[in-house]
Amino acid sequence: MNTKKKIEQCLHSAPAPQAGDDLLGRLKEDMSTAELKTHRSAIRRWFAPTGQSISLGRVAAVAVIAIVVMLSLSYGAVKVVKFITQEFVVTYNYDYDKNDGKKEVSTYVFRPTVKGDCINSEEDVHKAEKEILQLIKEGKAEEVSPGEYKGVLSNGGEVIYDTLGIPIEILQSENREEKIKEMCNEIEELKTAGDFERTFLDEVENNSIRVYIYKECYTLSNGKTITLTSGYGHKVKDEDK
Amino acid sequence: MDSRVKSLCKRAKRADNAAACELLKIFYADIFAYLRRLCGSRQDAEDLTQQTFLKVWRSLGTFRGKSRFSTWIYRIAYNTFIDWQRRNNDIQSCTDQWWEDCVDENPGPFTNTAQRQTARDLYEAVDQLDDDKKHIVHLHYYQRLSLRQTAKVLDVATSTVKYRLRKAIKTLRILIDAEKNGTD
Repeated sequence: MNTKKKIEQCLHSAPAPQAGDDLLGRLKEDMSTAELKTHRSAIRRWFAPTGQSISLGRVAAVAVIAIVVMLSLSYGAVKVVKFITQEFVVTYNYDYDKNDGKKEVSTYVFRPTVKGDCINSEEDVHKAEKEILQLIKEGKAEEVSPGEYKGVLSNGGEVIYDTLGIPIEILQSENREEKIKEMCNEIEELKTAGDFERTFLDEVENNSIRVYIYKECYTLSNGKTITLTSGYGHKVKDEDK
Repeated sequence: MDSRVKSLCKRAKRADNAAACELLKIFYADIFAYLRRLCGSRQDAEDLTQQTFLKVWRSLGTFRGKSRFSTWIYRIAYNTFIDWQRRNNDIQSCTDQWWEDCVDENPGPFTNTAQRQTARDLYEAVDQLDDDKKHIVHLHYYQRLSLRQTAKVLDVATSTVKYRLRKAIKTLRILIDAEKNGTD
């Protein structure tokens, strides 16, 4: 028995559990209620504090490290700065309750991203965004995937505009900052209440900080589903190593 | 099969329910079997299968076809299981009565009682492996995924899968030998 071949043979022929008759029916029901979502992940990077009793400094450090780790993995360290300045802006405000030394409140601001060879500065981002929003309004930008538009600017440059799931009418409105903030607040409320779905995606570790990355789906009061990626990190204790 | 799945996937991404239903029929039994073996409880496995497919439908738009559709589903199932395991304080999967009964009914290549006992010991030994090796054994041997697919599901290099498989087999041999010597 104990030859490699026999062990492999035995493992390959392991009995397979049979699903119950009603499982398929339930899965079909789930499918009809879930609706097929063709939206891609709306907010790709969103690091949040853990809500546990950890220091403000540690939360900030974890957020910074997590961003660097994630971006390094995805885009290569060389492009990190470019990515932050041109494509995606996340602002973290940590309000630390000094009375009990535990509570942490966070607010988030997120922005859509503009990508393209013609984008070389922060100013270009704003100009391009303004222009592509106009193109979308006029029906001259192509929606390459839900929430992601491709258009050619007046300078001939082609850009991809990712709305990150923010409804286009909000982005085109006069008081968009306020409306985006409202949306963030609603997400924050849902997060605090635990009213969201979470899926574990990955685990990364750098400089003794271990970050668990999850995909989180929030259903807003307007029925829109926002999907974002959150990293929850903590310092690795010796026994965890 | 692969081209059929690709075409069904394409249609499902356009919110074609009939195509999604076909995909469901193709994959649900395998995913259930995978989770059932891992979590050791029918009820939990059914719940996890439901959660897996809910996630599949909700994130179908993000599937870009860079890997096989089956690999992608297994990846979601794996993550769903890990998440569940963490929520349940790192509960360890264990060989339950179902496994034992099955070995009796379906002894695989072994025909006599002693060999059936060894098969049972082997399946129990798999549950004693550390998580890294155990997941590889489940995906590669039980679910018959290729080394490359297994690597993609676990997000590790193929060479890592090969290395862990070698180590797993070595550990299994030791565990079985120990069991055998203990019972002799």
